[in-house]
Amino acid sequence: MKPEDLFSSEVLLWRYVRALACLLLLQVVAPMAVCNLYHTVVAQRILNPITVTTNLLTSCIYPTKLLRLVVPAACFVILARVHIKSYTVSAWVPLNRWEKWRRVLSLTVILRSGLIMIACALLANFYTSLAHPDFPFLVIPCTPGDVMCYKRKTVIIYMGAYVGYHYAYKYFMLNGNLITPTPAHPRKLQLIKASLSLRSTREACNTHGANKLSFLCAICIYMAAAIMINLIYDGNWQEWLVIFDLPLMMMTLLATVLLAISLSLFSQVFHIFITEPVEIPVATAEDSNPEAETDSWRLSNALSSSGLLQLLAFWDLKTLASSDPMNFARRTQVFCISQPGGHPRNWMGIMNPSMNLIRKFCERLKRHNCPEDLPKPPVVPAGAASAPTDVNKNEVVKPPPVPFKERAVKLIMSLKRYPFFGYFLSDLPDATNRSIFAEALPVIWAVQALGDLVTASFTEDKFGVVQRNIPDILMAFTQLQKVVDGLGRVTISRRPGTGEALPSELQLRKALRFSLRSALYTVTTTFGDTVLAMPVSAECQSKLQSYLQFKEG
Amino acid sequence: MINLEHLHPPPGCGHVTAYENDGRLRALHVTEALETTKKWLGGQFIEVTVGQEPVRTAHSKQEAREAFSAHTETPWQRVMFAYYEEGWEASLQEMIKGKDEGSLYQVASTMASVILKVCGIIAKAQALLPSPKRSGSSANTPLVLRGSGGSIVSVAWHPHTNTLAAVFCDDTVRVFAAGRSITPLLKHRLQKSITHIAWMPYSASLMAVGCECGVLLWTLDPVNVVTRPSGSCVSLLAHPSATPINSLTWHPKGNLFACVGGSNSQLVVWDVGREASVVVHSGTGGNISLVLWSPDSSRLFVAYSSKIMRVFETRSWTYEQWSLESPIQSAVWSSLGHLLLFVTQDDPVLYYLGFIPGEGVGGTQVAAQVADLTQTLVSDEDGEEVSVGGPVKQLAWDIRSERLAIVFRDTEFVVLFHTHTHPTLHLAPGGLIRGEPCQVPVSVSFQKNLPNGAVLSVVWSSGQVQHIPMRYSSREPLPSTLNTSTFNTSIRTTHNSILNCSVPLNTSMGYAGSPVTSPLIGGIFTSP
Repeated sequence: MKPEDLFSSEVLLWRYVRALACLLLLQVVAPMAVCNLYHTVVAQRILNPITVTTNLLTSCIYPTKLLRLVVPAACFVILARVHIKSYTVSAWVPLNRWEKWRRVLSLTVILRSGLIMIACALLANFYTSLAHPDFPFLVIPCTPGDVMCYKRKTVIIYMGAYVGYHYAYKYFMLNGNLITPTPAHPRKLQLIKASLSLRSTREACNTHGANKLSFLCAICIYMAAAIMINLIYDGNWQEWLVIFDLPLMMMTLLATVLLAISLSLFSQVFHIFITEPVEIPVATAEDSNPEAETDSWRLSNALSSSGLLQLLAFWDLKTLASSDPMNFARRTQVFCISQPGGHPRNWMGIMNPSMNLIRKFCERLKRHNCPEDLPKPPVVPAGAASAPTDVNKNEVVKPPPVPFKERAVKLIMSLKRYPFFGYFLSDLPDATNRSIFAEALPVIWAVQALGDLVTASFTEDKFGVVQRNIPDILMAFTQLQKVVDGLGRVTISRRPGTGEALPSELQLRKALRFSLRSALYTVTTTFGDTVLAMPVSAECQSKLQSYLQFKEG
Repeated sequence: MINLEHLHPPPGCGHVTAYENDGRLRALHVTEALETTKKWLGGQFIEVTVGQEPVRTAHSKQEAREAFSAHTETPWQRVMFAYYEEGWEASLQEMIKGKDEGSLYQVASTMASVILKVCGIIAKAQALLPSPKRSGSSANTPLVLRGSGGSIVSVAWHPHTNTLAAVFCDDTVRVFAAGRSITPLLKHRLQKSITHIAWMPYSASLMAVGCECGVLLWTLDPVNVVTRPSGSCVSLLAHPSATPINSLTWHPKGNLFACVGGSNSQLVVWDVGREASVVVHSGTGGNISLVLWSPDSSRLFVAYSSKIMRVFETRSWTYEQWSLESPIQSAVWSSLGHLLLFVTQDDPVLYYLGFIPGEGVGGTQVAAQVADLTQTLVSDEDGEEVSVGGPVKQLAWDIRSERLAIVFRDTEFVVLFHTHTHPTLHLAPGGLIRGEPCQVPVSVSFQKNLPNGAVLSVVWSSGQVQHIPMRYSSREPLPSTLNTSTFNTSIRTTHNSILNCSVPLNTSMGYAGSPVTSPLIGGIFTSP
């Protein structure tokens, strides 16, 4: 079984289930239980704890209550489904405007945004029905004479869908679906507690369209649409003014705020559960048996995978490599050799995927920014490549047909010359580099982990399994640093104290420079002048020299 | 238990402690002392000077308007001007100030005072709620670095180079490096009320300055010759739960730092590269005054302004708590991160806690007393009686945990102990450090990049920074070069010895100083 499949079935599935259960408990069951408790103790003045408990239990399993729970549960399942299908570990950076539009208009995004909007509309209705009995529940039909009932419903459903649209836009277009592990991993309860704070709630309301301006804007759009519909169908448009009554406005506002908080909490709790660190064994029992399946659940395979598993595997590697004495036993496994044979399998299993990742990343950057630095492909001798030709023949050999892809590229290039198409098709500034750096997080952790492991090998590596690869590692680091530094400064600058945050890909670029320096300093400080005796290129050696003298800022 | 009477008599008045040799502190006349230090340190000597420009204290800034003569506007004009300049609250204040201006004005003045009182009550009510909008400039921030009249209030050594950052009382930081004439001046409009500065480990250029608005990260290119780094060299890391900063500490590897601040008890950890933060603990206990990351990175010490302290393990951030009789004043980790020395605000006693590696925090249940620092009268070399000890202000332990310096709140001597942590903790008397007459020590810091010996930098109340070189052969290896397997066993032995008190503690290797060592006595502090 592949590590990705194992991870999905053994780890991720349970994380989804636990996240959903936690959300239902947090957002539906707990508030309802508190409301029931309040009703029993304050309104009915029952103080006997046994009666209170039985009341609570009976009210929870009461059929109508259970029926009420079905709607929010279904909404959360829909939201969870969309989140599970849409989350990503690297930010999406559009290369041109056309790509942006293509994403907005793609069927998947429209469908998933629609699902989010439906779930939000239903949730808004549920919250309204909880808050006030005058606002009937969605499943209860309006009485024929009640004009307001229909209008109230439409207003609340509309506002729910509006908040849902806000959320979906942020989620799909502004990288709201990006999940990255937090710098430290305290207990989940602590993280959930922090996300329930007043500040987070306020931020959530502002982000997800539950602020005053957004509310006013939505009501205006709603009114304009209603009046337009009435004018088209010759109805009395003044009928719609009846929605301007205070209780309805208060209810709508309350439902919108609750919805925004729900959505924010949903995304945060989902994020907390999904990014929980996972400890992957460095070596398994199968290692001793060479005939066992090679794609088992172990760190080297997880590091070579992709997506979330790769990210969590590099996080685990970083934790393992850190100087914490608690990880001493795991680090020992990295530095041990196989019996019999004496091969450093565990170290190679970690080093190879990490170095491959760093080299590939460096190559991608080089290909885009300095293609002349790339090693040239081997030149094929001219005689071997050309077909044998007879100079006496008059027939001209037809050139091979141009593939469709190349023709399409040529067509696009020619279209770029026209201003209208140029607007959509021309590249956004620095977009390619930004899209490369958006995937830099595992590279950063690979750099940190290798730096720490090399440092740890100074005292812990009894068999010297690491020392053969130290020059390669140092050269890869200095090469990557040269490429990253060669790109110049980040184009978007900001003033401290203004509260602006850099886009995640630019932040990662900074973080990569930062971790490369830190890793090189860690190695040079630990090994001292010994690093200069290593067989590295002259360029790398001069770099190491300046690191030894603390001249790299 | 060791006490201050075991120390060698301090030098007489007019003499200054210049260096340590053969395990004894030597005192010389002021000019000779400076010359000797220069000679001992050679090219590594850093002279911390203020320069020609006067340094104004940031905490006694005067309003510009006070420099002008009395105004002649009508009261209403003054109210209007106050409104334009500082807002409606200032205009109401201005309205209250005016007296005997007519009945209409009196009515307006009364109304203004009522409105202001109501606003005050609302503000007090708001202060009880954990409001996200509350500004960081709360009144109870006693930890702002302040000197006693001098221009320099604190110094911080770079962990790997001969570079020293000095905090000045006008909220600027100057960076002095050995062999460089350029001293960059770090000044920024957000850099107010500096509480803490710390160089990032494994970096040549990064320094964190904890101040009122959060943590300012300065990036100083070591080969740059700019004397006044621009605003582009700074980035602000501010978390609403940790402003203003009370204390900050770097992870020993340098990619993370923990900070605390404000009046809440939230512990925030920042990833410096990604500029991402996470609240790893938020609970009761009052505001946090001090955080310290252990050198082996596995534990984080947190001191609260109430009578508790906690030590977190940094994997899943669970903690162990110790209750105290008085809030923590200062604490230091040993170089291997298995011992913690601390002092409280009221008791002049040095306490010690041991930790064992493994799952969880692993701290000993009871803190042991290792030194009695009660204020006593001792005779100096001239025969005059001087007072030493008392409530402690600051502890500083050198990078190999061989010299411990203690600064007191009320007395003019810095106490130096010779220490030994491997295999068990021992304290031996080192001596008393004296400055120029009537100078009181403000803060101390050990140089961190020395392969042998130590250099203690003392900031005196006059603003002078004195370096005291200490020449001795190191017994303790540097943390990075110690084998972890021996480390584990050594700590286990230490722990057992404390719990069982079976290992005779007086069997330390002979120090060059006095043979008196410190037997450990079970303290009054217990872990629940």
